[in-house]
Amino acid sequence: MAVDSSALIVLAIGAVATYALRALPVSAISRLNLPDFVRTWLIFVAEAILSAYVALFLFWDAECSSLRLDSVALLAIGVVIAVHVWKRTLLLSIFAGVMIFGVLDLWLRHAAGGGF
Amino acid sequence: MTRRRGWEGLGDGLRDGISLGLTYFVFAWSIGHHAVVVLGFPPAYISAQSFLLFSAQGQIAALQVLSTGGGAAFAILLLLFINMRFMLISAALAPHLRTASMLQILLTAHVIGNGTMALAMRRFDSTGGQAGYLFGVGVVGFLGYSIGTTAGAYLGGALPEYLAGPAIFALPAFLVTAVVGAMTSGAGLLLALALLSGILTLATAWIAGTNVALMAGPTIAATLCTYWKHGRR
Repeated sequence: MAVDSSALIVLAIGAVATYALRALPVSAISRLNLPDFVRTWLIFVAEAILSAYVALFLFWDAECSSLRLDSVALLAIGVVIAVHVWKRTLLLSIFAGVMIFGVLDLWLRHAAGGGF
Repeated sequence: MTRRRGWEGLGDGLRDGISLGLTYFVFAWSIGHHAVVVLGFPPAYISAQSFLLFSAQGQIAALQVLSTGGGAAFAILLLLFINMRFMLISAALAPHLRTASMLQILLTAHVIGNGTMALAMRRFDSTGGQAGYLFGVGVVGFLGYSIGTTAGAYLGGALPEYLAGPAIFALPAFLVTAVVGAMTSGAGLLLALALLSGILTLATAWIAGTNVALMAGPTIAATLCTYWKHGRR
């Protein structure tokens, strides 16, 4: 498939504007003396963004735009948390969670007759 | 005068970034494959888009608009709206980069993302801001993502379909480790913040969609917790 001009325009403008969205706040705010409550807010908003991503990944069905409870994902996340609290090793925690997720997902497909 | 700390922490950042780079690589593979096979874009376009934008959700949204015949203006507006979250992430990192030169900041800006922030904030808790560390982590994450998308776009069919689900799971698993790291090193207020942010994000997603939710949920939760900490004095 060839790329038409509109796709190239989206790429060019999108790249410049996205860079500006990243660069402007960090270059401007890093030179300011911020009040305590603003610094606290910035620390909190960083943590809150991560939690927001996790909540959407785990509990939101993007196709149906509704809440979901994916037991396989929840179980795998439980493994990630347990391994991370126990070992404090990032790659091991992620690997364990992905493996558990993959095995359970495969097992469920097999049980449902979907095969491998 | 504030002492410049140059590229201090760069080596540690490159080393710590490996976990992020691998996670992004696995996650991005499925995005590249999806963009080519399902949405019908050429692999070269997807690769260029990843290197220039470094924004999974924004990229997918723009591609979906274009693939259904939507106009360029709408695709750009949607892309920018989704990527406004980078303003929050950059703003959150900014106070830690007071000792960085403007050149370092401008170079680092392109590789700022949620994963980069997650690793850097944990580090900065103990060392204070280090532009070198942030750049190191960001570059490895950026390369993992961009190369992963490119590989998925060109070689996506090489990956069996039953591995796509576990691949997508890699990113939430990574982010969970970041949240757990904050919980176990921080106070109960961070746990409350995480729960509040999750609940508000889901509620907002139900009302106004996920793109609005990713901005509104964390912003409201952070504001309420800031008030709880400072406003009651």
